[in-house]
Formats: sequence, C-alpha cells, structure tokens
Amino acid sequence: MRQLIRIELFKISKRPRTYIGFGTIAFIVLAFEFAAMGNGQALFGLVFKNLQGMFRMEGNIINVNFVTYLLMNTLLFQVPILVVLVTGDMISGEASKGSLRLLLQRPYSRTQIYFAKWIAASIYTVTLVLFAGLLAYGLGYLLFGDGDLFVFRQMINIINADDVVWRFGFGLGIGVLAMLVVSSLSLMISSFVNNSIGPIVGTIAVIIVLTVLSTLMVNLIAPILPYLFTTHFIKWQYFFDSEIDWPTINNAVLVLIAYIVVFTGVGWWNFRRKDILT
Amino acid sequence: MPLLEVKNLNKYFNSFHAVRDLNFKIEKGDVYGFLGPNGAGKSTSLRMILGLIYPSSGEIYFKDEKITKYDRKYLSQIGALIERPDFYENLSAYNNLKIFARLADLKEKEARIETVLKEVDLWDRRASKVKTYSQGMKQRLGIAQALLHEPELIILDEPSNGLDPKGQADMRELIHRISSELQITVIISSHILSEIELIANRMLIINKGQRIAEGNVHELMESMEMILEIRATDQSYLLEKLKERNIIAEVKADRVSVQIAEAEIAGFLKSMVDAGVEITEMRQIKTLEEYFLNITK
Repeated sequence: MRQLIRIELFKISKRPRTYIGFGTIAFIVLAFEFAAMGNGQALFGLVFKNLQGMFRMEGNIINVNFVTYLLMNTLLFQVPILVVLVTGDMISGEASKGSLRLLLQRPYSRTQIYFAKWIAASIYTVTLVLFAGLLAYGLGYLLFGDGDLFVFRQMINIINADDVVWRFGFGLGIGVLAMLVVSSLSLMISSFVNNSIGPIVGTIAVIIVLTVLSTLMVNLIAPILPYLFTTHFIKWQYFFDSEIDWPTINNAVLVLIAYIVVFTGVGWWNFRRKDILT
Repeated sequence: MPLLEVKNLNKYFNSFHAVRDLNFKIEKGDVYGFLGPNGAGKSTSLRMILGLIYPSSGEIYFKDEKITKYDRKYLSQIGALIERPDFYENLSAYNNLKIFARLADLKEKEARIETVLKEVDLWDRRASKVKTYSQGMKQRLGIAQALLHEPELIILDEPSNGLDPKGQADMRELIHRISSELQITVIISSHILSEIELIANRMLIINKGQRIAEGNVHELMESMEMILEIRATDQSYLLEKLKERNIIAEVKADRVSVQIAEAEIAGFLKSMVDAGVEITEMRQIKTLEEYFLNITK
C-alpha cells in the first residue's frame, strides 16, 4: 500500500498541472498582498465602507491578519478548481489514456489502488491548502507586520493579535476538510467516467450549482441547507467571532467528514466492481 | 497440470452476450494463439483472465487454483500487454518501468529494468519520454513492461497492431525469443491467421464469443479444406473421374473447382494422374485467410 501511495505521489509530482495550482495560488497571494501594500487603506475602506465615518481607527490596521483573512475569503473560490484539476482525473484520466489497465494488471486489490489514489489526492489537497495559508500569512507578516484583526461579521470584531494565529490554524483545518470533500467528490466522479475532463467539469458544476442554490434560494431550500457541503465551506469564518459558536463548527466538521466518507465509499464501491473496458 | 484453464466462461454486457461458454487450457511452454475477427470476444476473454473485466459466469484456474474476483496474487506471475501499450507519456521509458518495478516490488530494480530494455532493444532510448516513441517502440516497451517481473505467462493482445511489416517481423522474432530463450508461456491474440500460424503451436479460434475450433496449429491447418481450381486437357474426363470418387466439382469456364482437405491434396492429385487425367494447371484458390473468414462468418 505504501508503495502504491508513493507511486501515486510520484505521478502527481511529474504532472505539469500539479504546479499550476501552486503557481496560481502564489500569483494570487503575491498580487493581492502587493496591491494591499500599495493601496491598503482603499482595501480597508472597501471592506468597511459603511463604518469608516463612525469610528476612529488607529494603529496598524492593514496587517498580516487582516490581509490573510481577506485572502482566505478570496481563495475559497479558486482552491477547489485547483484541487480538482489534479484529483479529478486520477482515475478517469488514466482510464482514458489506458495506463489504468497496466496498473490493475498488477497484484494489488482495487481497494488498495483506490485508497492509494485517495490518500495521494488528499496529500496533494492538504499541501495545496497549507501552502496557500502559509504563503499568505508568511508573506503578509513580512510585508505588513503583526496587528489586531478587524473583521466584519454580524458586527465588527476586533481580535487581539496574540489571539489570532490559532484561529487561522483552526480555520485552515475547516478549509482542509472542505477541500477534502472536493477531492473525494472528484475522485468519486472519476471512478464513474472514462474521460479526463468529465470529473473536473462535473465537480466544479456541482460546487457552483450548490453554491448558487444556497445563496439565491435560501428560503426555498432552507430545510436542506444545513446538509449541503457547500454551506459549510465558509464555517471557518466562525472562528473569527468574539464568541465562537462551537456547536455550529462541530456540526460543520461532522457534515464535511460525512461527505468525505460517503463520496469515498461510493467511489470505492464503484471502482471495485467496474469493468475496465478502455 | 495446465498453467491456465478456462471453464464455461460467459460475459454479458447488459443483454449482449460477448463471451459464450468458452473453454480452453494452456499448458506450460505453449505459444497459444487466440484467433478471431475484431469483436469476437478475444480481448474480453483476456481481460477476464487479468481481472480487468469480471466474468458473468464460469471459472478461471491458474495453476489449478481458482481465481476469485478479489484474488490478485496470481497476477504477479502474469505479464500482459492488452491492446495499445499505454504508458505515462510525460515520463521516460526508464521512469515508466521504474513505476512498474516498484509495483512488482522487485529487489534489484535497476538491473532488471536494464535487462528488459536491452531485451527489447530500447536501452539506448531509455531516457526519452514515451510521447516521443514510435508505435513499434511503444509496443516493445509494452513487452518490456510485461517481462519486467519475470512472469510465467505473458498475454499479448494484438501486439502487431499498428506495426509496419518490418515491425511485425521484429515482434514475431521477439515473441519467439520470449518463448524459446526465456521459457515463458505466451498467449497471443490476433485477427490475422498467418500471424498466429507463424508464432503459435496451439490455437483457439473464436467468433461471436464462441469457440469455433481449438488444437495444434499444424493439425488444424491440415484439416482445413482448400479449394483447388484444375484445368485438364479433357475436362469431361476429369469430371467423370471426380464423379467416380464422389468428389463434388463445379465447372467454371475451362476450369473445374473442387473442395478438398489440405492433407489430402497430394493423394488426390496422384489418383487423378494414375487415372490418366492430364492436368495442365492447378491453383489453390482458397487461402487460409478465406477459410478463416468463412468459418467465422
């Protein structure tokens, strides 16, 4: 099994698209932070446009924590696409190219092969999310330095600089879980089709449709909203409330884990029984 | 003990019955030809042996041990090249084989990769990416991959597909070497009878998923009926002698055509000459390919 995982990671490392993800994130982070450095007050004004006249704000407001928080909001929409680019065709891409046939001719069970792919996909996903988080925070620290975090949720929360890092850590944890749902979903779809592009487009389409539904039709689908995984993608923000709503966060973690288990289970079940005709 | 035995193998794809009650045995040392037209069920049968496709019913035994759906250990003793040789195109031949060497958990990976690449004459191109390879080179790399873990049985599904005549001859020579020098049992599928005739010692003819004939290649060839076209100085005398021997003849202008087994041709000609028939011309117009086409229609 360890050998299979190493081989899957080796294959991921040899694919140019693997580096597109890291490159894109690096570009977004660099562009965002350098833009914030040049025009940070305008950025702050954009976020708190209705409140600027009401408060007098002093000190280092545009700091690593503020920039990282905004970047995490931004990357929420890009990272799933970058994850799916690599994980989406780990089975179907190999099926369409025919190399899956060679792999399945070796004395490993399909269960071992599926889970080796799942683990490799998860390692890539976690690495990508951590890279995004660490780059945003590291570069932000160098460029802006530390400071209290101003966030606007239902109200303005001002979080002391000493009290922020752990919140980012936990928030990143939720982000990792959310992206593992995405990679598990794409791997599941990948087990059903034999073309490279289907799972990539399919997964992105599912995420877009669910996001649009939960944004535009809140009243209509209110009863099922708590059960959609996309609803919980933004639950990392709850770590930035003055009083953390642990039950909601715990529920989000459970829902996300449940989706990972279901998507992985369905993908594994299908992969185990399917005939390899390509 | 047969190396591989297939009993009553069936495969349905929804209502389509792709393989029907297929039975055959392969002995150690055989070069076993799997002959049939495109869509006959050859690849499906070979994929069932390799566990890529699950049988609807029937049994497969490898060294007398029944292969179950989730049993994969036997695959460590089989090497295969099914249809196109598909590799990771952005990796070199060497790195591709490294992946398969790791999968096979080989002890001396580098040495073994070198051996098989030299065996298929690709050692000098080991560092080139597979996407730069010609079809023939990919086929040879496919065979190298199949040989890598020193299997007892190697399955080659249409290995000459897409190769030019020189490539086909090289492939035949390679398969001969695998069988005679490396002592590996070979199953080779093809839709070209002459290819099987040149390589295999035993063969199975399959059509529409069903076994049509099976046995020693030369015996099967000899039992095949040929059509002879004969021109004689006296056609009516020839027809009379054929009638005496209950041989059905058909007259086509100045020629008479008869159907006769290949093994009986010499005896038939001698009897005609002994009876005083003056044969001026004789042509064997039914080729082996035509025979094959006829029985697989």
